[in-house]
Amino acid sequence: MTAAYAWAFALGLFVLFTWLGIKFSRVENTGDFLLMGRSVGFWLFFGAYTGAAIGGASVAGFTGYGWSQGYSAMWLIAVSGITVPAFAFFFAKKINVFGRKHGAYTLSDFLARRFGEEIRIPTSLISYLRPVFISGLQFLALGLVFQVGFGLNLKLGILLGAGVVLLYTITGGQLSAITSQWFQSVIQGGGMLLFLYLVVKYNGGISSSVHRMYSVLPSHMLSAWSMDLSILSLWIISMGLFYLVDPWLFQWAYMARSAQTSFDALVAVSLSSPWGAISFLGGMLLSAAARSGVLSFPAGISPDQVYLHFISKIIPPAAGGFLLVAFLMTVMSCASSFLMTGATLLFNDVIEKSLKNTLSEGRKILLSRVSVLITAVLGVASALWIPFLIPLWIMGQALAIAGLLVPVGAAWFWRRATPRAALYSLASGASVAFLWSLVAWWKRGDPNGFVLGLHAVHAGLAVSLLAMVLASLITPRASEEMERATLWREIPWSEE
Amino acid sequence: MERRMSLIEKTFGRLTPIKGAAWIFVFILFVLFYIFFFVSSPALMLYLVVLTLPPIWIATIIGGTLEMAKIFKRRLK
Repeated sequence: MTAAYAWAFALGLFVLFTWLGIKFSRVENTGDFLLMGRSVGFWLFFGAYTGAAIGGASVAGFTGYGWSQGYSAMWLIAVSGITVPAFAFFFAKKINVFGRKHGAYTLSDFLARRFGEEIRIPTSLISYLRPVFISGLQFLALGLVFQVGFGLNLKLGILLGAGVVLLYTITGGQLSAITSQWFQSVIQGGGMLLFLYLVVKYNGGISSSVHRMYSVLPSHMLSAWSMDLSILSLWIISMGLFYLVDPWLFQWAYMARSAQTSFDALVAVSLSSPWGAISFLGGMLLSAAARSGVLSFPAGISPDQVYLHFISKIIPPAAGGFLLVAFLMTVMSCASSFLMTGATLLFNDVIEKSLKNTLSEGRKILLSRVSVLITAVLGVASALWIPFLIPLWIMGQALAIAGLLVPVGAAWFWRRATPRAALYSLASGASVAFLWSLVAWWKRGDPNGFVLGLHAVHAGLAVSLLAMVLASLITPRASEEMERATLWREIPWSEE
Repeated sequence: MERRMSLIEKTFGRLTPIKGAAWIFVFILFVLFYIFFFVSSPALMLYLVVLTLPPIWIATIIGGTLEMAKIFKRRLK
């Protein structure tokens, strides 16, 4: 019965997104297709970003964390809740201004302007891994939702989910992706509120829920400080500092209608953290309900399955159908956003630059669409055939931080940094992080593991920083114009 | 003569009463979120989430609908 309601909701929405894609398929240039013509207004930005930032892992995964670890797992959102607004305060306006002045689309454009074209391809390669693996993870999540909630075969579910996302992104590009993300975000928000209402209701209301949490859950699940410090330091880097060099966040800053909109919306999206809190608190309340015998879950259920079990097996079918669709929208909004980021990197940094800007605008738009297709195919292939997609995503993230944090920081703040040093810093940081992850995978069975007390990111960052400083002292400097192009104090706060 | 902008105006742009109130709301919510997290109070966090997210959700719907209407008007002529 739940599946019947879910199919009815989902099919209606698929038709809407496809209609949006077709209606918005008339684009004038690649800026229109890939960056929505740098015209995203505040509310669309705010809604679409919230939709895109909260993916499948943020709902089912965080509910599982709340269920198994409790309150301390909220550090996952607490660190990004500080760094994203910090990014907005210090960089969002300047990135928007830089993008307009130089026609920049990607993080690689920013670094290439400062350190020369040699750094473009390595930057793009590192940046491209994350959107591909995240798209793959979202396609896999779509397959699982179709399998658990709609009764479809997993592979068919992956293909159907990816097909719908591809259809509306390849036609309407970023405009279609962002307007769809806004719709998806609204449904996602409604779903999260309904989820919260239901878990509170099953616990007998708010006062009773609070009482039950404190009386049934062990004390370590109620403390923010029961987190292992080594894991916390890793989260601070990978879920916090990473956002300072996140190619996806750079793209959002470029797309905003103005420098002020870029700032306003990115600061306001710090409100995504309370949205994320719903999942953790919901998981804790479900755990309390299960421990006190109010709700029953299969013995030894995997924490990741708690959310889907609750919405497909416990709550009334109509609510379950809506929550399944809301979860589907959560996953789709994240998938389409990262698909467009991957396509932008592929087209702008690899295809267009290798063809030396000799193409007509029509051809460029066609190749932008091909880039969406290639990124989607890689995402689907990784969802279908790579059984260790989460470790790869973690490695992609580690490579990006270890390789990009120092060069990007130097581009903003250190005029003495040289083009050669940036290249060595990026290559050495990413290589060490990659090798360190492989050793951790081999020794500890997890690329996210610690070797000699250090994570891949710690080791990669240390080497990257050393390479940047030493090589900058002995290699030739860039021209004055290049040194000043990305210097933080040289870029104005607004276009005027 | 060019008017000197205050630091607040440089950062937040021209503040209308509604925009100013919205920023105060965001700031209070941000601060309370971290206080309730750092003092390990899931109970207060639950009340915060229950009381603040529904209006944020409604504002997203209203604001987004108005912006979408403009886009539809411009693009779908």
